[in-house]
Amino acid sequence: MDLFLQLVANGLVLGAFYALSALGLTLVFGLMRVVNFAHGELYVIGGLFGWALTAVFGWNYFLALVVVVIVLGILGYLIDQILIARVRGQGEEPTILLTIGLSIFIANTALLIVGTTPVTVASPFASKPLILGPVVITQARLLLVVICAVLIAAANLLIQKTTLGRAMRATFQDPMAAQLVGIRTPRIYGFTFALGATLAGAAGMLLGSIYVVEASTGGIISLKAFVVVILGGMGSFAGAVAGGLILGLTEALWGGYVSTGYVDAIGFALVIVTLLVRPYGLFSRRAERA
Amino acid sequence: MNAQTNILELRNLEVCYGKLRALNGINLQIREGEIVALLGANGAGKSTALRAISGLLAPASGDILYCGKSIAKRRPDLIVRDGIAHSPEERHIWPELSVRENLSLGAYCCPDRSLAEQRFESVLQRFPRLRERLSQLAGLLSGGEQQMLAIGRALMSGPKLLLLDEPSLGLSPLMSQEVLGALRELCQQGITILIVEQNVHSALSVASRAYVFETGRVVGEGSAADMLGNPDLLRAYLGA
Repeated sequence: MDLFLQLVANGLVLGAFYALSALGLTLVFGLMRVVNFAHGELYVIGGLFGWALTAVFGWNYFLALVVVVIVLGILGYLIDQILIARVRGQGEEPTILLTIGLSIFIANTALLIVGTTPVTVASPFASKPLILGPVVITQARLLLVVICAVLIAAANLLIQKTTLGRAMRATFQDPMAAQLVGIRTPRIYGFTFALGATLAGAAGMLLGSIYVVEASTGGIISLKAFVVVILGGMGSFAGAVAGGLILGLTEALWGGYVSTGYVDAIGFALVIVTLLVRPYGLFSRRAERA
Repeated sequence: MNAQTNILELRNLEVCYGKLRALNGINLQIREGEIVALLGANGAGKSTALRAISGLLAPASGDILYCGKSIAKRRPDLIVRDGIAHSPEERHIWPELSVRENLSLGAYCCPDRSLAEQRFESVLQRFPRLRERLSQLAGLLSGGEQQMLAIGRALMSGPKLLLLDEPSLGLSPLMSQEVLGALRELCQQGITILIVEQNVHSALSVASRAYVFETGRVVGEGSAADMLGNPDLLRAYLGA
């Protein structure tokens, strides 16, 4: 029983991290219909940049986080305006090819600059264990779960409650109507991709203080994020959270009771089942266009 | 006709979709405070003219004058700020936003919150059906309600000139009368209206003048009374 509780706690923590790392992907897909295969590379950039600022230059962790967020936002905006804008409105395939190319470019540039050595973001959080009855969890992880929850709630509030968020949703539901009420739609595309890049980069830096960051791990990060997003339903925030927790719990329990060798395959088995049984995911909401 | 009193003037306007020329040198004038109808068959270029006026399409040549100034190369958001609102064909409301969100985004360019609130109230007074449905998703409204929402959203920007594309399309005769009645009231409040309609009789029942479009040209113009009294024109161009 104690083992079960510990595994559940590990799974929930892991799930919160998965949810955070998938949030940018689901946002960019849900709003822009852009399947961003470079999502994992943006996460890696966030992690590597965070490592450079904290471990190499010795900056304060939170200051570095703010800088990472701003830099990734600018980078995301530029990627949209310079690259994605050229294939806008031409369906999903051109953007898929474009982001795959971008991911290869970023991954290899990162390899060139940083090399293959795994690095870690220097974190002020204590790795001291907290003992809660039968469950042991480090302070750092618990704190990160809280930060994940705050970021997820903040991103959701931005999209649901602010004028910018409404303008984003309006632009992606009907760009012509958005132009006709005076929304500058090219900027909205840029802001949305910037927000997605920001979330990816923030996830990379936050999780880079617990796990290692490697220039070449973008691909696996993207794949896990796709698993989370497909489980929950493309574009749904609640779905990303649920998908993350499901994946985290399943991996933890499978790893604890069955074998650790096949843990990474579990997510993909879940995706196959989801696509067969509920192809729109667990949480998608659709209103018919009249 | 004195050019000073024209709120809108199209001069020799040409618009192309790629290599396909949709408008072939259109000339028309709208005076402040009138309702003018653009008539013609499908594909005659009426909607294209509206899209060019609101900045969605760039003219290939010719000019668009609004209050005497050229707006032919202006961005759509600046044209909205200038006071031209466009309620497009097939309504184009945002189906997955609530009715309230649809309306409030209509005032996207209005920085004054209390003014936006005032407009919101007056739209709801004009279309009371929308008030009952404020929190519903707009995609769940009936066709008539969606049309009211589309017009209401256009009114939220506080326009001087309202462009309406097929407001009675797909509506029951009763609902269509309700919408046209609302247009008359708007005109009495001083909003100039340019309306595109395929239903000639409903268009001419609200408009004071009309232009007849055929394959990208204006082939006739006149007062609504003249048009209605000229069965040849109606039959020849509109099959009415």
